[in-house]
Amino acid sequence: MNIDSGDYPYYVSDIRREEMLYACFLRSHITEGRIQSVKIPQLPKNVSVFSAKDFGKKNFITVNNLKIPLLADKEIRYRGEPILLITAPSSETLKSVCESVEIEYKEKEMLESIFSDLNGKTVIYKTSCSQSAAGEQEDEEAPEVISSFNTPVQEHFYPDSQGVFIEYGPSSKLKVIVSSEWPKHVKQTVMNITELPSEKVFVMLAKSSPTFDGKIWQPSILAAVASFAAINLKKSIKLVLSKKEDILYSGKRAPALFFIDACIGDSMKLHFLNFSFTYYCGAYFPFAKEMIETTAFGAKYFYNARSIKIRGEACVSNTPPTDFFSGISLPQFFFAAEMFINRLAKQKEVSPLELRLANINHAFFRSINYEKKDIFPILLAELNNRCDFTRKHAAYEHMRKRGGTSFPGSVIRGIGLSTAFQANGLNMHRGRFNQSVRMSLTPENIVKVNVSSIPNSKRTRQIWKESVSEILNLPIRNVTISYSFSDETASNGPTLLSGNISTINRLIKLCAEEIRSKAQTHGREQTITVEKVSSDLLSRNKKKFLYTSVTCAAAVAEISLRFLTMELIIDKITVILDCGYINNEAVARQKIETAVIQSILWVTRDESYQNLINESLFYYPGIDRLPEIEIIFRSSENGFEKGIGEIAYSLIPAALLTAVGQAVNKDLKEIPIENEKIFNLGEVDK
Amino acid sequence: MIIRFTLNNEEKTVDVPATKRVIDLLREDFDLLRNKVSCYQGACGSCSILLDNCIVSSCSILAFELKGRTVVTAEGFMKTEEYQRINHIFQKNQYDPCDFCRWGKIFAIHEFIHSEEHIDSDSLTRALKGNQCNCSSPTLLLSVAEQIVKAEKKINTGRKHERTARK
Repeated sequence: MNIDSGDYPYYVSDIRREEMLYACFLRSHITEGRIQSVKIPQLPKNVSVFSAKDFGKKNFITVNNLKIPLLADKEIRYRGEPILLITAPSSETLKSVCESVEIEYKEKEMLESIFSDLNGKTVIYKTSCSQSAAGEQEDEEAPEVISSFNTPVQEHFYPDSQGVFIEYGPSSKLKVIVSSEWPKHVKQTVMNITELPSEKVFVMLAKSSPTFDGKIWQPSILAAVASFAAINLKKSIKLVLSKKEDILYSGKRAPALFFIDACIGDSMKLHFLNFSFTYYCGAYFPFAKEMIETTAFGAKYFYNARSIKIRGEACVSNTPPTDFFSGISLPQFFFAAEMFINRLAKQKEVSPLELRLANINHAFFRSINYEKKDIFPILLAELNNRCDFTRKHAAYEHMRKRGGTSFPGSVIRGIGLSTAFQANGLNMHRGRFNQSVRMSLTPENIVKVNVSSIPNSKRTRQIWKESVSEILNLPIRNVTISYSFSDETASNGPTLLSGNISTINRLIKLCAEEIRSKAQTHGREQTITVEKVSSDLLSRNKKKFLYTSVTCAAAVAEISLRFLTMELIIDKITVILDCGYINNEAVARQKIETAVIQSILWVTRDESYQNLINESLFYYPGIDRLPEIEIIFRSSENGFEKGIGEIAYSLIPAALLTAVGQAVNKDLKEIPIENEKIFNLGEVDK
Repeated sequence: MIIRFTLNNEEKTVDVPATKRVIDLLREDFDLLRNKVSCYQGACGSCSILLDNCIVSSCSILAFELKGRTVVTAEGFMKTEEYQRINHIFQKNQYDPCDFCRWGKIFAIHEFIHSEEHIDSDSLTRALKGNQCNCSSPTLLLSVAEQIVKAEKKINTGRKHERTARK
């Protein structure tokens, strides 16, 4: 085994060695075009420059069958694309060398926005499907409602920057210390680029922030170029992105544009529901198919209608590459769908809560979670009680219709509701992304657990140990967990893509239970080994559904607009969810709470590329600017975990924007919505 | 410029360039790596240290300004009994912030303990607002901070009474 199983004690930025070299990228200043010439001045001693030519035919990494260049050769596809890799004995020398390199470009005309001027050639994946059920005739009188919604890029806040340290050892052995969710891919990439055999490449996971997700394949690029330089220069290399570089050019959540078209009759039932959506994936995105299919899945199953039509596509754009963020593309979908349902309720003058109850696909949730009761009526009833939603909503609607209050210094309130689900282990049906757990019990009562995923904290590892210890009735100290990928284990894909920690929780319990049963039957004289993969968890409906369980949830956002201080205040966010069995409630609460905060930032902060360039992302709200967040867990009928990591991203944006829309009496269609935008809406009734 | 200052209870003499920041001095020259660099703009709180027992962002102070002053970094504070007590309450509450914001939060709590501020949610929120990180629950942070401050103030009051009684 030569991928280390434990956390390296340091962040990459903390590592230093004698005679190591620092490395950095020289990036493109233009958005799209061709490189005409690169003039490199006389280089100081011990300074080296690598370009695409040095990498030759190996100037790429392969992710999910897509080739992504390491360094731009001739064509520039986005602003900030790496062109040269420079190494030097100090960071000061690096800076001065970067400033002295001259690159001439032939620039293409800039697009006005990423949503304009995209032609058919840029579509990298598309899908369309429809389903219809026999039923009553459509009510021809029912008016059709068409709306469009768009979501911007999303960046997660994490304090450390991405980076890699390559320790060059005797006989060209490389120790690659990197923060990554996919160490197997890092290793494979380094082996490809350096042509070193497996036993000479040793990958260790450096420490990284808990919110460091969504950067799935980019660590492989850093590791590949730094390893190549280390082998060529026979020196250790440290390549750490600056915070600004990391914020500007690392993967983001893909922006999306949705058109939804539907009509409801007097019975409040949806007659038809048409979704048409486009994702703008940046210059490269290896998971377009998975992203589109995830949205299509949400569109197909969340709401019931006699006819549902779905048409979706993923396009490349001249912005930095996008990546998988929590929830894959369900947050974008739920933002659009929930905004649309709230708008329908407003037009029809019915309660958004009642409209949801009439149209959510209750049978689907009963079936997939093996439950006898409908879950959403229970969740919505409790949420309604806790937040007094119906009364507040009706009161604020009344105020809205009346035209608000007449006091210029008044406070106007709004309340918004949304519902969503999180599909646990989506895409795990694809063999190459299957998670696995191998467990063995020796005659000495020692349990060794090998896990294909990376736990997101020490507590997760502790939870795994406790589960095994409890099921096998052994002391915790007898259980060892190695969350490594051994050379013999197939690549299981990045943690985020192939299912999350809940999947591993369930596999561990499954393995422990099977070992217990085998030990009872055959005795404990010999080592018992059991291996389970995530597809073992698929339900009886596995041909139809692509995951093992779903978490159902609803949220209410309450806001107030203070005209005197021109402020949007988020008063309270209430989230209720059925996430199945909870291993550790304190940890679960923290996880949801932090995701709620990230979602609020997605809604309230303009993270357009222009603002990223202005470094606005360095801002993160202090504890004094956060709303009250209440999280309610509904105990589940089932005894297994369903996952909690993604749900807030799907719930919060629509609830929050609906609340703002109610307060300002506007049909809002896009996030982010900042203070300035809200108070410039023009016809806001004070 | 040659300066002398106290670092974690030890006298240090060091030659610093005029533009070198305190965080770089601590990390590069003294190998004190527990205080981190993130925003480099004095906004995030990752590089917080105690300068003359007050919390400051060490990325925003030039190294020569340390002349004649007292610096306590994470490494120094870890040796104190106060840290052991703070850490115990963190663990008891399963509060485990990341290494980037951990010390900013601990130093903010330390400063609050030794201030005359009244203990309530608002004043604690004000004291902790300089730490920008999304690694852990802000609600739990407030609750943990309140427990620590109450416990420490009790200890400090006890000590005061002891001293008065001795006199």
